Amino acid sequence: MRITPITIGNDIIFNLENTYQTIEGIDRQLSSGKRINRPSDDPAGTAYAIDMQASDDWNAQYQSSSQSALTWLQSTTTALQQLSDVALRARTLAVQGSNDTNTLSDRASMAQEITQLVQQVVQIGNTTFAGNAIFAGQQVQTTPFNQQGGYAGDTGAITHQIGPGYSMRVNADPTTIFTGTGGIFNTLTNIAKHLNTGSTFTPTQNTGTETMSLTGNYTGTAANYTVQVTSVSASGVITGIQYSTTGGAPWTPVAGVGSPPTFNLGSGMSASFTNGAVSPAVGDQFNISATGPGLASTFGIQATKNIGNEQVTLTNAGTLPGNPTITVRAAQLDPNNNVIGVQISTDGGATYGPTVTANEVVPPSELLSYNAITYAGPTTNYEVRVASVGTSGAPATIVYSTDNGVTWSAPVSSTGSPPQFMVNPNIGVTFGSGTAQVNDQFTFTASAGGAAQNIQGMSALPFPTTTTFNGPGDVKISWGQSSVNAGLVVTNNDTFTYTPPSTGLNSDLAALDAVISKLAGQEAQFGAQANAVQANVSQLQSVDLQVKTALSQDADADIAALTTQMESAKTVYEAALAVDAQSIEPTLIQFLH
Amino acid sequence: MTTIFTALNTANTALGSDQIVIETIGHNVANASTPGYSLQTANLQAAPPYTVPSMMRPTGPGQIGTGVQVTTIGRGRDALLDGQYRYENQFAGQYATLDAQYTQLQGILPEPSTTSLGARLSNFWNSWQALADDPTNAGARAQVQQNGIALASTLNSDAQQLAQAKQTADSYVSQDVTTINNIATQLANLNSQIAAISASSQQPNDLLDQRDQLLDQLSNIVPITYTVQTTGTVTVNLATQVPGSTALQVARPSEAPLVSGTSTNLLVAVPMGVPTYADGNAYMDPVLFPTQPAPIGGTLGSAIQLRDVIIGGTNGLQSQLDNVAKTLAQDVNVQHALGYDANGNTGKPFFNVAPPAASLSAPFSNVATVTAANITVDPAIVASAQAIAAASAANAPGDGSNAQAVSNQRSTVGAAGSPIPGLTLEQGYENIITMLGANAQLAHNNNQSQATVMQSLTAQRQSVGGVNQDEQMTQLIQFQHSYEAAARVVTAVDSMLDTIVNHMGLGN
Repeated sequence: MRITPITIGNDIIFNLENTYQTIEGIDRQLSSGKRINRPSDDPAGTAYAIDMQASDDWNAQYQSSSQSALTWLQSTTTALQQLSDVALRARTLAVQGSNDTNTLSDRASMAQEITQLVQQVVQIGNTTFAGNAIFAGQQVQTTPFNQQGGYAGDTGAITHQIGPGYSMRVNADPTTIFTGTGGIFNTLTNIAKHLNTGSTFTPTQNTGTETMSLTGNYTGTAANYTVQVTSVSASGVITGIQYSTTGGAPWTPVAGVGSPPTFNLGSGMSASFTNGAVSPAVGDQFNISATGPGLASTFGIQATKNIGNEQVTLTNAGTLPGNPTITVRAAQLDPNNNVIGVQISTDGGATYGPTVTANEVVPPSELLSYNAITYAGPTTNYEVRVASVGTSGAPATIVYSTDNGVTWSAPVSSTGSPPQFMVNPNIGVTFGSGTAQVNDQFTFTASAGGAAQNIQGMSALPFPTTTTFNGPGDVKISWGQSSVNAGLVVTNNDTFTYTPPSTGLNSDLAALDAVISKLAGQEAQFGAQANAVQANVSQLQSVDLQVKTALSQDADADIAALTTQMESAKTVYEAALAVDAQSIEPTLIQFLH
Repeated sequence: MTTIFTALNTANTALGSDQIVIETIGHNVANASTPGYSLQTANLQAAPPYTVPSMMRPTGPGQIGTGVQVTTIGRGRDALLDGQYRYENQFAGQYATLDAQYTQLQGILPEPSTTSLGARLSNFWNSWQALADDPTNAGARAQVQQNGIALASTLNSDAQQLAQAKQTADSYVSQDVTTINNIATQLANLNSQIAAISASSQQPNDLLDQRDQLLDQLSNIVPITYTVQTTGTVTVNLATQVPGSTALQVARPSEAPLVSGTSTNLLVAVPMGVPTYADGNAYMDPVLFPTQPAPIGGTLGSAIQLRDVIIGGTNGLQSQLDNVAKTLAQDVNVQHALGYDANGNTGKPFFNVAPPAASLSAPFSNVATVTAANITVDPAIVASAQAIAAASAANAPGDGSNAQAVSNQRSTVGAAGSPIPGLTLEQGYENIITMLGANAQLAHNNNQSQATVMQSLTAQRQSVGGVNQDEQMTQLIQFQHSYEAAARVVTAVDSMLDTIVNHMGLGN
């Protein structure tokens, strides 16, 4: 073939161009560090690279989701462990409290600790991490539990997807742990109540069912209000109340305004009442937990003593054999409505024993004698009580009863000297020496058709505000007024029931054991989930490594190989230049001289 | 009987011929690097000898030569090679254009990269899952909002660049038509000059070179067939058909050849939709394209192919990118409408779908009007990330299950009849990239191998018609010496005449 310089020139240009392209290709890979710089470099490899990159991103997202899930699970597990601790402590207290040898004050302090445990449970229930409440269902931005254990969350699941098709619920359902009949709140509250029933009777009669509501903007500080009904109209409308922030005196009386009447409790807070099935009664009482300045309607109200104002307590109950349920009812009242006789039932109020009167002893200094007038009436028990005392210390008026103190006569003034009080046209009573006091009381029996004689003197002590009665065994029953007493209203047959602590606590213990085992189950479940997530994370990490390796192999430049190729391309290029320069330079023209 | 002057005359023909040869060599050397120039050769032939046979011819030895004469000035050209060159040249033009354009198209979708559509899609889905993990986190919401906006604007800008590339291709079509018409006019002009010179039995070598070069240029733009007529003129036909009916179409008023003698049948670039041919048929040469319809070659063909098929075709890049936008809008909107936003609203779209949706669910899947160019995030979500529906229920701030469901749409395979059937959105996009890459790779490889073919054909043509200076110099020396030798003969004859005239016979 005939070759011309143009052919050689074209060849050189063509081949140098090819070498340039080779160098450019190598250079592009070397300078970017990528084997694939545009889809045409390796079409299938590009799709693979996009796919791998997406997998890598996806994988990273799953890892981040797993970490988030792990935080949820671990926070929940920690909180559940704390709850378990609380439940175990409560169990210790409940077991201790159900032991009959405990004294009432022991039980009261146990109840106090349980109340504190309830507050701890509230605190655990309100645990947050990263601003999310973990025991609120999907209502993560609320404070789910209030101080009374009321729940504001829901049962919604929070799920995390931590792998392809691998979803996991990361929050507990608070309603299975905290709220409801078998929840930890209910169980602890029951334990506290049952521990407390060891010292106080539960009223079962004389209960109005009105409710109270609050309005207004409270401007005062946090305080506990006690509100007590002081007067009720004939139509059952509460017309007067008194309130206290000290649990008793001093009281601030308030009259109702408007219809239905609204009572101003001060600091911007007002109360009004709504009648229930049973009409309100004087002495009905409510407690308000004012939490500080804010809407009064949000404060907790508890009807604490929605009954006549009397209160019955029990002493030595801890040693009562067999811990029976005791029901006590008022059976005998004095003219001042003080309970002076009770009846006791040990079968839940089905049958009552005989009237038990206060076990008082008449001091020898104040004796009663009788005037020997012929008595024609039947044999009668007389009860005589000092109604008022004169300046000399001797009784000025008396009242008497012939029906064991159920009804009393009008006050009787003395006749004659020495003072003599006529309780019957034929019976006059004369007091002995000593200083008499109101309510000093004596009994005597007038025998039929004979002279009044055999008078038995009794204690001249003032009738106590609180009267103590002998219950079964060595149990003493005290019936009196509460410390916040005002306007005591007692009627016959007011009844109180005492339930021994062990009865309620035994069922509480069963409930608490269920709570503990539920907590343990949840703890185990969340722990297992956390382990699974951790395993998932390490698996994702190893997948990540593989994906990155594959991506690198696919898309990254092989620097060593490219450098070698570059060297050889450069050598080719330089050799071509050198040889081309040599081959073109001499032509025949240079030799024609 | 020859005379002494015969010898003088014989030497004279040599002097004249050598001069013509040397002039030709000079012309060759001068044009050694002229594009399209082909080697010229003065063809020498011995002059008719003396004597011609006749009854009265003198006796003695014969015949006696009378010198040399130049018969023709030949041209180093191979018609077969030219035909091959021009046939291959259409592919060279086609592949070179496609290679360059594909490089540009790959620049519009620069994969793999951390900023292009593939990465944006991946980021978008991932931000939904991050939101599912922590729906109360304002940052996670903003991430979804911003990634959505970035994704939509990437689609918008990609679509806009594709539209730009399509317009560029369209302008190539009209440019090429103008160039074709210019060449056709020049060819007709040359035809008339060549015919005039050929009529006088001379060879218009340089005009022929010019014509051949124009034919070379033309064959790069559009496939041609041509025939050299006996009059020396060339008739040129377009071996082309006009596909499709979008944008500018290439048309001629009639099916007459592009160039025939001194007349031309010029092309016109007409706006789309205007009927082009009287017979309504596409025009093509059955020799080059035995089956219909065939793609046309040359830079013109590739520009039309780029505009009407690669970018704008029913399966072109624009429509494929639109499918991505439609699928994205549908997948996200339908799921998003099922969820509840931070304010408890439900039934809202994530991507803006025009016309505005009237009721829940169904209208959000009405994405027929959504394209890559017009897809945007719903104004409500642009205004506030709180409008993103992460929850599956109202007033459940901790619930991210709907965000998870949206994120899971990344694995959802398109149903039969949907824009991307049988593939996930990302797979659909990868398919686009793979196809683009494979086509670009094919165009590049074609361009490379075609360049080798052209290189080889050029070398062959050079072998026939190229000027080799060494060769020319050698010939120059050869004919210089030939000239000197002839001059020497003249001198010898001169000396002989001197002898005869001044020194012979008479004693002086």
